[in-house]
Amino acid sequence: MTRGPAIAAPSLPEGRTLVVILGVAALFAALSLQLVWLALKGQGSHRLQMSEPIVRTFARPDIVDRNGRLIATDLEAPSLYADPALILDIDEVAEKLGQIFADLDQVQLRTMLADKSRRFVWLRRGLSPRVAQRIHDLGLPGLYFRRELKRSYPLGALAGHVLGAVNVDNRGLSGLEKHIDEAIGVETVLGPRANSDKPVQTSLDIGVQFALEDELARAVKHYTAAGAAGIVMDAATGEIIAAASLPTVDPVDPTQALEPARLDKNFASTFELGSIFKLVTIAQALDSHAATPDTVIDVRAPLRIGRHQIRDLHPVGRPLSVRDVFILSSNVGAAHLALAAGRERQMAFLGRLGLLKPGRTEAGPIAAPNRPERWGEIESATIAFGHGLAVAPVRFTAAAASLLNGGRAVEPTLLRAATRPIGEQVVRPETSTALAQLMRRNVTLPTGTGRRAELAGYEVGGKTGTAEIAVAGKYRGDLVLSSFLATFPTSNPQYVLLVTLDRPQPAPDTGGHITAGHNAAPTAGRIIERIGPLLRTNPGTP
Amino acid sequence: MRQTATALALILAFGSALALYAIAYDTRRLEARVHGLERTAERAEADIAAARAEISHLSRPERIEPIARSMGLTPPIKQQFIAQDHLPRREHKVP
Repeated sequence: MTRGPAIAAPSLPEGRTLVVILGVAALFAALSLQLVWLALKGQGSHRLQMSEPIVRTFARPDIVDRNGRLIATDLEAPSLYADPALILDIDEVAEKLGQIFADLDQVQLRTMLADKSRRFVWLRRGLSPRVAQRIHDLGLPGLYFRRELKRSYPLGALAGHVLGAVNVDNRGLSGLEKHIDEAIGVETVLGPRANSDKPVQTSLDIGVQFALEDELARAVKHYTAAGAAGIVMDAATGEIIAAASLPTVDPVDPTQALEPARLDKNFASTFELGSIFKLVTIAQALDSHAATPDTVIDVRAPLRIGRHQIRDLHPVGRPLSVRDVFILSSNVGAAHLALAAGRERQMAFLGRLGLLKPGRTEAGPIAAPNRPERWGEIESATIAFGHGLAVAPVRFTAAAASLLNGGRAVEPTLLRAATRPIGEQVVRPETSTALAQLMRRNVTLPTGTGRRAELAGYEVGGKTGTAEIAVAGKYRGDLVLSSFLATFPTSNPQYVLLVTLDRPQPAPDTGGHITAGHNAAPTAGRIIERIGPLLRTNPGTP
Repeated sequence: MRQTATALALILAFGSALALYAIAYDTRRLEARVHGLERTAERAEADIAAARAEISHLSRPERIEPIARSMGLTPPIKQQFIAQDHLPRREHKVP
C-alpha cells in the first residue's frame, strides 16, 4: 500500500503580494460603483447623443451659360428643426412661429410637436439669415438650426422652363436640374459642403435669353396674345442659345410649372405651325429634282380632293413659280408639290428631318408629334402647308436648322460641347442655299410676307405662318397661332429663330390683321436687332 | 544589478508614458486645428459662392440693360459700320 504525496495547506499571501491584490480589487470595486452610478444617473445625455439626427442633403454642380456666366448655384442656408421632447410649451412655440410664418399650418405643427417619441421634426427649410435670426431671438427651447445647401438662381426666373426645379432636399425634379441628377450626378453630403465638380456648361446665352424673353413679353402685351414662345438655335450644331415660353415659370416655385397656361410651349406642346411648313415641302421638291424655284404651278383654281377643297387665302389668279408659291404663301401650290411627291416620300422626308418622332433634350422629353390617324391624299396636301401634323416648336426649329445649315441633320441640345458628330446629310447643299435665298427674298421683296422682319445689315430671311386654331373640332379664323421662322445671315445661315404668338389680337399698327406678317415677323425683327450684336453678327460685317 | 535594471525599466516606462501622453495631446491639438482650418475653408467657399451669386445677380441683363439704355446706349446699327475700303486715306507727311 502506497501513500500519495501530502497536500500542503494553502497559505495566505504576504507582504507586497497582498498589497497588489488589494489594490486591484479596490480598482475593480471603483469601476463597478462608477458603472452603477452612470446607469442610475447619466441616462439623458447619452440617449440624446445616440438619437442625434443624420440628415442628408445633395450638393449640385453650378450651372453656367455658354460664356461661363453663373445661372444656378448652391448656397448655405439655415433650416429650422425641432426636438419635440425638449419643447416646453407647444402653444407658445406655435403662436410665436405663426407670427413669423404667416402660412404655417398650426394644426399640423401642433400634431408634430405633441409626438414626444420623435426627436427630429423639420419645421422650415432654407431660411434667410434674417428670418433665422428672428427665430433665434425668440429663445424657444427645443428649436434648432441646421445649415444645409439650398439651390439659388441669381438671374431670377430667366430661362425658368429650361432650368426646371429642385425639391427641398436639393434633388432635381424637372428640366436641366433633373438631367444633372440622372446623367451628371450630385454629391450626397451631411452638411453645407458645396459640390466640387466643374460647372455644367449650357448652350444658353443669358444676354440672348433675356432679349428674347423681353421682346416676347412686349409682343404678348402689344398684341394681347395669350402667350408666346421663341427659340434661338445655332444652325450648325443644334445648340439652343435661348428658349423662352410665356407665361414664364420661376425655378424657385416648382408648382408654377404645373399650371396648364405655363406649360412649356417649345418642348412640351405641339402645334399645327401653318405655312412655315412650306419650307419643308419646297425643300423636298427642290432636293428630289421634282421642281426648281422657277417651275410654274397652276394655282388659279382651288384644289379639290374628294369632298375637301383647298384654296389660297389671297388668290392671285395666275400660275405661280415655286419661288412665288413660297413668297406669296400659296396653299394650293404647296399641296400640288406634296401630291406630286406622294405620301410615302413625304413621310420619309419628314422622318429624316425628325418631325415624326418625339425625342428628348437635356430639359426633358419633347412632346410626341400629333400625326393624322389616316395619312391619305388630303392629309398629305394639308400637311404641305402646316395643317394636320402638330409638332413641338423645338423639333421644327431643329428641322429648319438641318435644312439651312448646308443640309446636315442636327439634334436640339441644351449643353455646350467642343465637338459633335457630323449629322446625316438630309438635303443637298444646293437645296440648302436655295432655301436660304427664298427666305431672304421673302423678307426683301415688297410683296414678301416677311418684309416687316427686315433689318439693315443682318441679311434676315424668313417665312410666316398663320395657323387657325381648332376649337371643338372646328377651325376658327379669329383664333390663330402666328409664327415666324427666321434665319440670319442668309449668305451663310448661322442662326435660326422661331417666334410663335398664341392667339394674338389686332393692334393699332396691324390694320386689324392678326396674321404673322403683321405681328410675329416684326417681333422677330426686333429680337434679331437685339441679339445680333450679342451673337457677334454685327450689321455690315462680312 | 537587479535593482538598477528595475529602476531603468521604471524610468523607461514612465518616460514612454509621458511621451505617449505628449503625442496624444499633440494629436488632439492638431486634429482640432485641422477641423478648424477645414471649417474656415468651408466658410470661405460658402462666402465665395455667395459673392459669385451676388455678382451674377447684380450683372443680370434685366438690371444692366435699363441702365445702359438710360445712358443712351442702343444696339449697333448698320450706319455705324464702314468697310475698310471706304475709310479716308491718311496722307503721310515726310518730315
